[in-house]
Amino acid sequence: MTAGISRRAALVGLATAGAGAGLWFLAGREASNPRLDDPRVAAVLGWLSDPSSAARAGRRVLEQLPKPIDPQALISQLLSAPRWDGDRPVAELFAEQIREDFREGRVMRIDGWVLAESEAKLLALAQLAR
Amino acid sequence: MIQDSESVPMGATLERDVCIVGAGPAGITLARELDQAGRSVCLLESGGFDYEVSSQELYLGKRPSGLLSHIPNYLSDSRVRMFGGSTNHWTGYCRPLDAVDFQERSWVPNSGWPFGLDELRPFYRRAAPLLQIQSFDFPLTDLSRQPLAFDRAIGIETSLYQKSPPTNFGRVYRQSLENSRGVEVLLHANAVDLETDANASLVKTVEVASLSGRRFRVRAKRFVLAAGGLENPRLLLSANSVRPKGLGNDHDVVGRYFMEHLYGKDGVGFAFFIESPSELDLYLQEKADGVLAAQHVAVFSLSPELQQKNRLPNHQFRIFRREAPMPDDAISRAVGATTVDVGRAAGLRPRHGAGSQVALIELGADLAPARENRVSLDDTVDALGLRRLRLRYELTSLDRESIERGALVFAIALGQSLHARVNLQLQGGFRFSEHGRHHIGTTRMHRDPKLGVVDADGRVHGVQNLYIAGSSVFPTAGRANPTFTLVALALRLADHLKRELAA
Repeated sequence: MTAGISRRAALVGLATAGAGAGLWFLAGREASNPRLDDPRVAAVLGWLSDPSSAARAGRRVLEQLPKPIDPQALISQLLSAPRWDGDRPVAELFAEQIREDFREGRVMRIDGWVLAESEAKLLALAQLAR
Repeated sequence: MIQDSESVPMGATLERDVCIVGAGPAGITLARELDQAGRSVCLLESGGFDYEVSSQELYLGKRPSGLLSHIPNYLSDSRVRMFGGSTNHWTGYCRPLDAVDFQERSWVPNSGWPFGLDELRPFYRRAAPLLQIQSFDFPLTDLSRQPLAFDRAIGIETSLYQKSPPTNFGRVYRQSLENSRGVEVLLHANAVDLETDANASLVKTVEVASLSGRRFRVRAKRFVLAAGGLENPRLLLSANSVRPKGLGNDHDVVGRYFMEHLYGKDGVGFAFFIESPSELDLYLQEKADGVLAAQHVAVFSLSPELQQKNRLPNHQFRIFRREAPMPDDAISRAVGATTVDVGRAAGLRPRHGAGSQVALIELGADLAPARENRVSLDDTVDALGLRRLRLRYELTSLDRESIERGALVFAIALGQSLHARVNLQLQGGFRFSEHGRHHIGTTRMHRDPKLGVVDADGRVHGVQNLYIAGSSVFPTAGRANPTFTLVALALRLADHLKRELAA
C-alpha cells in the first residue's frame, strides 16, 4: 500500500469512533500563518537527534504527499495541534500526537515503514526547513 | 506390559475394556489414566521402539496439492510411526489455547468449540507435569525475564510458551507401561479395519495386522482412535464395509477442515525496538538445530478486543534476532532516531540510555477451517491393503487478506505503544517458510453431526462406543502448538471413559 495522507480510509476498521480526535490535523488554526523561520519550527525540529537523516527521509515523505505541497500549510498542520500552546515540552507533545495518530489509524507507509502521519510530516518539515 | 504382536496367536480375539489405536502422547496418556482406574486396555502401536522404514512407509501418500505441494513426502515425513508417536520428533513448545480460540466468531468461518477454555483449564493443569513443564497458572511477573509493559488499551498481548524437555512419551512412560498389569501394549500392530454391527452404530472389534502377516482382533467396550490427524480420518474412511462413505461420515465431514500451522518469516518484515537486546530477551528467539534453547519464550498476539474490532483471527507474532543491522538508508536511520527520540519523550527510555534492537518478525497464521481443505482416500494401497491418503490444502482468499491486514494492525499497534516501528514487506503476499507438521481438524468436534465428526465428549457421531483423541478433533487450530492441548483433551476423555465404564 502506498498510503498518502488521504489513505486513512484504507485502514478499514482500524479507526475508533473518536470523530474529533483527528481534527487538529485538518482544521488548521492558521491565524498566525507560521513560516519556516517561525521559532516554533525550530523548536519542533530542535529535538530531533539526527536532523540530517530526517531531512533526507523527508524527501521520500514529500514524494508521497498530495501535490502541490504547500509548505506553509504543512507547518500550520503540524503546529495546530490542540495541545500545542502550553508549557509542556515539544517532544512530549509529539509523542502524544504520534500515539494518537497510530490509535486512529492515521499512518503512512514510507519504504515499508509504518509511520504515524505526524512523524512522517515532521520528517517532511525537516527537509523543507533545510 | 509391552510385547510384540507376534506374541498374539494368529486369528485370536483379545478382549479388553478399552482398545486404543496409536501409542503417541494421546494414546499413552489415555492408557495410563485408564490403567490407574483399574481398566484393562489394549494399546495398539504400528511401529516398534525404533524407527523402521517399513512401518514408516505405511504413511506414504500422494504428493499434496496446493500449499504443501513443494513437500512431496509431506504425508509420511511429517509424523513418526513408532512407540511415542510424534513426541519422537517434537520441539517441546507448550502453551494452552487462548480463550478466543474456543469462541465462535462471526468473522472466522466454522469457528467455535462446544466448550470454552474454562472447561479445559483443570486438564491443562494435569497435563503440565506429564509434559514436564510447570502449570500455566503462574503470573508472568514470576519470570526472571520480564515482558514488555504495554498499555492494555493498545491491544498487544504477550503470550508465553514453556518448553518441554521435550518429553518423549515413548521413553518417559515406557517403564510404567512395561510394569502395568492393566495395559497391554502391542507393537507392530496396525489397525486395518473397524468392524461394526449391522447399522454401524457400534464397533465390535478392531482388526489388526502386522507387516509379517499376523492377523487378530481386539474386542472392547470402548474404542479410541489416537493415531494422529491423518490416520484417524484414514481409518474412519477405510471402515466402509457397512457405510460406503466410511464410519461416522454420513455427512461427508471426515477428513475435511484440515489445518496446519504455517509460519512466515521471510518477507513479513522487521521491527526496530527501542529496547536493548537484553530487555527483549524473553521474546527474542534463537534456535539451535531448529530447537529453542530458552525455557520460556514470549510471543506477541492481538488482544481479543483488537481482533474483534478488526475482524481478525488469532495470528501470532514472534521476533527473532536479525543478523543484519538496520538498513543503512536515510529513511531507516531517521525512523530509528525518531523512534528513540519519541520513546525517550514518552518516558520509555532513560534520556541517555543505550538500547535498540532490530528484530525479524515471524507471523504465525491462524487459518480458518475450510471445508475444501481435506484428506481423502487415494486409489493406491499400502502394504497392508489400506488405501493411501491424498491431501488438498489451500489458503482461502479470506486467509490471505487476514494475514496482510493482521500484520498491518500489529505494526500500527506496536507503533502506538511507542516501543517500536515496523517495516512491513508483505507486498508480494504472505509466503510461509515453515510448517508445524501439525495435522488438525480432520475429525473435528461439533455438536451438530452435519458440521463435525465427534461430539463434545470426543465420541464419533452415530457410533455409540467409538472415540477420537488428538488434534484431529480441534475445530479450530489456534496458534499454540497442539501437543499440550491434545494431552489435556486425552485426560478429559479418560475421565469421561472412566465414568462411562463405571456406570
